[in-house]
Amino acid sequence: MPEPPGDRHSGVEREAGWRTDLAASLASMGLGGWLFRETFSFSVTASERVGGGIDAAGYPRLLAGLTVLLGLALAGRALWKWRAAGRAAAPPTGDETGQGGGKLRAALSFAVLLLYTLLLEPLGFLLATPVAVGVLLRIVGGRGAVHAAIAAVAFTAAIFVFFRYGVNIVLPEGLLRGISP
Amino acid sequence: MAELGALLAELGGLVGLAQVGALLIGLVLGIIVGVLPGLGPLLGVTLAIPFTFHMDPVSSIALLIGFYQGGSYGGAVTATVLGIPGTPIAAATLLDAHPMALAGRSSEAVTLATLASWIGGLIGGTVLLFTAPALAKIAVRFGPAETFALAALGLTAIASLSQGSTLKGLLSGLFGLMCATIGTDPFTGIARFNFDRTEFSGGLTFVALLVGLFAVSEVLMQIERTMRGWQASERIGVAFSMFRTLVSRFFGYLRASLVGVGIGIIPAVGGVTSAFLAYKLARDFSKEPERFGKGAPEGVIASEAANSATTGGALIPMLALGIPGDPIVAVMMGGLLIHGVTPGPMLFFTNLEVLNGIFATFLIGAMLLLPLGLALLPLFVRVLRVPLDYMLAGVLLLAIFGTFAVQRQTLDLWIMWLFGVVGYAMRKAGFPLAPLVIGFVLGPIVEVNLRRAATLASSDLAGYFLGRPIALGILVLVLLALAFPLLRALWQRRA
Repeated sequence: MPEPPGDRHSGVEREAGWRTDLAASLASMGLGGWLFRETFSFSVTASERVGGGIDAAGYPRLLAGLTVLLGLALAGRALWKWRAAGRAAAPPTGDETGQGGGKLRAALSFAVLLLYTLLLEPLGFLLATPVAVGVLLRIVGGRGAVHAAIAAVAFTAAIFVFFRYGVNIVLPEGLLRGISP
Repeated sequence: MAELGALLAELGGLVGLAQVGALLIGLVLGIIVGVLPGLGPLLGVTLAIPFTFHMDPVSSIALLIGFYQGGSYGGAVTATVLGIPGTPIAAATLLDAHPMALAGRSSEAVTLATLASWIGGLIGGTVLLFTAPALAKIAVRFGPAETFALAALGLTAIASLSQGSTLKGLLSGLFGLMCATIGTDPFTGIARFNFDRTEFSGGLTFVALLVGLFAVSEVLMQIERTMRGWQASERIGVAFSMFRTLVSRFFGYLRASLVGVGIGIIPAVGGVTSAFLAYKLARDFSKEPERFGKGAPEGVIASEAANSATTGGALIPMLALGIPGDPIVAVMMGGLLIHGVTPGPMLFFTNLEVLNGIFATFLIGAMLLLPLGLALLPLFVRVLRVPLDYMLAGVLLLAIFGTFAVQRQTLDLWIMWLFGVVGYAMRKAGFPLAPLVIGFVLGPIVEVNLRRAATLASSDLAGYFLGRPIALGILVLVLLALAFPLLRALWQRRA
């Protein structure tokens, strides 16, 4: 039987290295610990403490405890991987060496999207979107300025028409309040 | 054909023009999303969710079913024409469809894939129609202990059977359960993890979490990978001679469809496995197994019929038990919950109109896949010429404004970006995303039923579960699901 590929529905890219696993385990334990502590700030009164301790605070406390335990197990697994990697002198995985240009492109695109979200309400959809899409097309597709500008205006118009007239949703008007169609 | 027409008319009576329209839109867009490499039915269903808010429940589920069915089929076109699967579930189709295309038989391969998807969908829909009510009749007797155990089974099965480490799958599921606790306690109304903001009193916005997790992280991954375009110049039409295979290879269609629907019912296993299993069976039963992998029509039939039938099977546990077995179905369940429709055994007694609408739209969608798939084939092949950067920009804009449209607040966009980064980091670290979304959808069911069971049990929760044989049996299955990866590794080591 041919080997099936990884199921994209599960969203898994590849098996991570020990450093990634260790970082993930620390993050899990940190999150679990923080949530556990937070549950003590809930105002659960004595009369609301029903169900053998599994109350409004008890249930998330149970989840947080399990997260810390599984985080510990993941840390153990990372250490086991580290020992195995040491014996086999395996090189770090692609994720740990980085992929230069691709990562930078993704980071830049994400920064543009965050900036766009910040400016969306004050500037409005019709002003902010063509600029953001144009910059994205330059970063992602390496398009020329004119090509990117024309495509960005076309994308903006298509999305505007679809949301405004297709599904009747008013997009942020910003500076064009009262003027935009 | 006359009987088919009568059935179609009867089913058509259960749904109106608006629902059929939504289904058609879902099918066409679903096929397009399936055709485009790197996207797929999950992303399609995710992007469609925000638009269902303004629809009635049946139209909304019709749209999502269309995306599910169309997206599951669309990958076959890409597998044939380009030799890369448009979606992972089309990977088995590729093995024989692409060699057929290389031999100048693209039209035959795509027509066969369409016929197989059609038959698979119809058989999957028929099994859904008869199995789900029977299962619901049993499940309606379940109390909080059994419901909690079932939800725990759904979650652990997806965590341990999906790709990657079980430990990470479980952590992902726990993270989903924790995200579901944000907001207001369902029993007492106490605020939990709401960061002193009233916007969080209703919990995290499902759409923002979903779109961030799947759409934003996918776009970031695609931007990071080498920006490689694709070119499809092939002209493809309908090969009517392939219709003869409906008779000559009837058992091949039937066997693969039954494998697909059976696998679909099992949580977390899904279309990829069913397609490869059906493909292997077809090769094992063939008198000329050496032809497989070199353009055997039976290979295309097996993989496509199986992955299409899986969609019907996957809906059975969601509708009858309220437990989604795969992330697409979890998203669809979330879409129903948004409309106040809770999938599960009670749906069969309290909301028959919606339930019948779901059955009808699924079967109509399965029927329409053949004429639609064949008639619009040239359009779908042309879709492959869309430049990748345009496609990603389109997906991002739909993600942003689809999420914004739900509550018209930018806070949802920040939540979406946050979960985009979380999803990206989880993928990089080898954490599956499916358990997180299933955990989030099942969170309230797990909590409410566990706390009800704990209340009924007073101080002896373990004794209470031990006294409920069905709940105990399901919890044994939970343990088996957790032990499965370990047993599999031991068995592989011995082999």
